[in-house]
Amino acid sequence: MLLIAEKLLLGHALEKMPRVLRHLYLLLAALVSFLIFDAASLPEGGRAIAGLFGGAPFTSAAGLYSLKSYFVILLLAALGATPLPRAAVARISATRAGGKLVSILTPLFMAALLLVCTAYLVDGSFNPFLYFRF
Amino acid sequence: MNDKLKNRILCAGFVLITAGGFLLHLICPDKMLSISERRRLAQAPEVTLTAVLGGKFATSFDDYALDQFPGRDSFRTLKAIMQYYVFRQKDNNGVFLAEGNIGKLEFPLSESSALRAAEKFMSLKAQYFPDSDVYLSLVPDKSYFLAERNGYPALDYEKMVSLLRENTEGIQYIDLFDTLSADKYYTTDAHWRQECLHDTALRLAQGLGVSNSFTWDYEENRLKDFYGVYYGQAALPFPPDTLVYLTSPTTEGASVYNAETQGTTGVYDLAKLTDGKSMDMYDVFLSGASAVLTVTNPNAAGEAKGRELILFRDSFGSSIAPLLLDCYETITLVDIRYIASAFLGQYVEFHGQDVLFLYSTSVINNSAMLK
Repeated sequence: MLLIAEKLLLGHALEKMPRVLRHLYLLLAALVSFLIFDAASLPEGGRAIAGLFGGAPFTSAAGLYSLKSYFVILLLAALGATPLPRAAVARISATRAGGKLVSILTPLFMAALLLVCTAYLVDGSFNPFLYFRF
Repeated sequence: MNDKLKNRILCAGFVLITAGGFLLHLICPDKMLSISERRRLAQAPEVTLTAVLGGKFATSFDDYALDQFPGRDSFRTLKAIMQYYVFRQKDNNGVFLAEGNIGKLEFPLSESSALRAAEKFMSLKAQYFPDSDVYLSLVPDKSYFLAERNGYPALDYEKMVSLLRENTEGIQYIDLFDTLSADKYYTTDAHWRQECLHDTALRLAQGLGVSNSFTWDYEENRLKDFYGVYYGQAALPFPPDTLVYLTSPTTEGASVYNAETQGTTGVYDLAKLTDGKSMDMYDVFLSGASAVLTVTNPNAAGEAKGRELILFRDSFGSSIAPLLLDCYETITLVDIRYIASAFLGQYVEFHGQDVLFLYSTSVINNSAMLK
C-alpha cells in the first residue's frame, strides 16, 4: 500500500524532501508495518501504533526491562545495519593472510549461524512462516 | 581458498545440514513426551481434505515439525546459551537465573484477576459454607524473593494482598510471606520444599486456631534427581534438586481417597515415580493434581479428633496439607481448577468445617483457571 501511495501520490513530495526526512519517513513506515505484522489482532495493532504517538506512557517497568534485556541485540543490530561490518571484512580480506582467514571462517560462521537460527526456530520463539497469518 | 571454492563449500555445507536434518527427522521415531518440558509432543497430523483446505493441517504440521525436530533438547540448550550468555538477555521464555536459582517472570499484576479470585471465594462461601470459619492465605511465588532485587519486574504483591483482603469480607487472612525465603523453594521448580515449611505450617495452624495440636517430628526421606518444572523451561544444564518428603506415624497411618478415581492411596504416592504416567516427581505429594481428595487421619487424638478442614488449593497445598494432619482428623483438598464450583456439592459435604483458601500468587494473578 505504501509503495502504491508512493508511486501514485507521494513520490514527488518524497523526492523533494531532505534526505534526513526521507530516512525518518522510511523508519516510521518500517516501524508501523512491523507493529501490524506483530499484532495478533487489529485492535492490538491499533493500540501498539497509538503507543508510538503518545498513546502510552513514555517509559514503563516492562519497557525498561525489555530495553535492558535486548540492549546487546539492539547494539548488534544497529551495528549490522551500517556498512561497518562489511567494510571491516573487506579490509581484512584485502591482505593475503586475511583473505585466507575470511575464506575459512566464512563457512564456519555461516554454519554456526544456521545452527543458532535453527535453535531459535526449534525453541518456538520465532515463527518464520509469518505469512501463514495472511 | 578462492571465492568459487569457498562458495561451493558454503552451498555444500548448507545442503548437508538441511538434508541431513531432514533425513534424521525421517529416520528418528516420533517421541510422545518431552520429559524436560513436561508435556506431550505434537504427533504427525492426519492429512485430510478438510484439514488441508481449512488451514488446520499447516498449523498442526508446523507444531509437529518443531516438536519432533531431531536433537530438539540440544537446540533448546544452544538457544538458551545464546540468550543468556552471548546476547546477555535477562530471561529465556520468561525464565530467569538469579542467585543460583531459576525463577519465572510473573508480571504485571492483574487487578481484575485478583478481584475475580476474591469474588470466586466469596461466592463459594455464600453457596456452601456461609456459617463456617473461613480463612485465606497466599503463597508467594519464588519471584517475590528473587525478581526485584535482581533487576527483574515483579508483581505488586502488596496490592494483590490488599485487593484480596478488601474484597473477602468475613474471611480471615493468614500472612505467610515472612515465613518463607528463596532457599525454601526448589532451585529447579516453582514449589516450596516440604522440609522447610515448619514456620509456614505453624503459622497456618496458628491462624486456623489449631496450633495446640501442631507437631513437627518427622523423618526425612530423600529422592534424588528431582528436575523441576523450570529445569526444562530454562533449557540449561543445572544440578537437580533432592526432593525430601516428611513421614511420621500420622502420615504413614493416613489414607487418601480420590473422588475422581474412587481409589485410595497413601499420603506419599511413590508409585508415581515408576508408573510412567507422571512427568513430575512432585506428584509424590498426594498423587499430584486431583479435583477432590479426602485425607483421613485415623489416629487423630485430643482436640484434633473430629476436627475437619476443607482446603481449597493449588499444587502448593499438596505438600503442606500432610503437615497439618496432626491438627485434623480429616482434610478435604479441593482444586477448583479441575472441578467446577457448581458441582462441588456432589463430592464434598459441607457441615461447618474450617475452610482455608490457600493459593499461590501465580494462580491469583491468573484466576480465570478457577472454575
